[in-house]
Amino acid sequence: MPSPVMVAPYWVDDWYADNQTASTTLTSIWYPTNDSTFTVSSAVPWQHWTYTGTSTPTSMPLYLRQTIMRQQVLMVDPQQEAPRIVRPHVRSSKSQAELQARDLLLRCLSSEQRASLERDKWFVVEGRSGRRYRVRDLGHTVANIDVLEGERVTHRLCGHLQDGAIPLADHLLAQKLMLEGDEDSFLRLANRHAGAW
Amino acid sequence: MNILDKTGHTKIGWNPNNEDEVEFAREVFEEKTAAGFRAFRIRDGEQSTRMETFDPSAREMMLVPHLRGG
Repeated sequence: MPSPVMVAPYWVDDWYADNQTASTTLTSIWYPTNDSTFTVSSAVPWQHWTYTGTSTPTSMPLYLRQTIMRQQVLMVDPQQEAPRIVRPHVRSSKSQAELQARDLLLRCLSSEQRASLERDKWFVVEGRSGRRYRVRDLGHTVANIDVLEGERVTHRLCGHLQDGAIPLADHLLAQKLMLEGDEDSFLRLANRHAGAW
Repeated sequence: MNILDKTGHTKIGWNPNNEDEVEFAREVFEEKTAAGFRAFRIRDGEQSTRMETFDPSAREMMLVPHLRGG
């Protein structure tokens, strides 16, 4: 008897998005049918996923989702002779990503930082050196970090994630994490700009 | 564990009592940090700190991809 096979009623990303609560062990439920040892590689654009559980699956592992979410997923319907391609149903993934990144940023800020960001579009971070930095939400990341001496801006820093396609809020979060947890590295990589122009 | 990416981040959770899940999370952590991602531990009300090794007991951690000067 063939293994049960899932035919996604919609794109796998949607499948996951609609079932975010459960978590499952990747290796026990999903695996590529051509390899019983699970591996995820972005170098493999196509993969053939078979559901081997006995009940309706309720979740899609997160890492799998990340790997395949922008790819077409080949699903096999056992009732059909030939594999059938389930076309990705692309929805507003960019705005969804922005919202998700914003939520994460807000969750990682203190209540004071959160209030400041909502009110003033900036929040202040203190590095291990005791130096204070004002991270500004300007809608971009060009020189958006003020280096403060008291309330005076001595100069500005420009350092951000290499990948410009990552949502802005993730850039701000990365800046906060670096300034708090790896200040020296950030100061080495960031470019300095004059305090005012 | 949250990995910052184009989707707004990818989250990987695990049950500390489930060896398979912990091992999977550890593999992802090591793969990403080997590729240059920086890992940070997040604690409520405290500064974030760098993590060099995976700690399954960490309640929250972030993996940050490459940064560059602008």
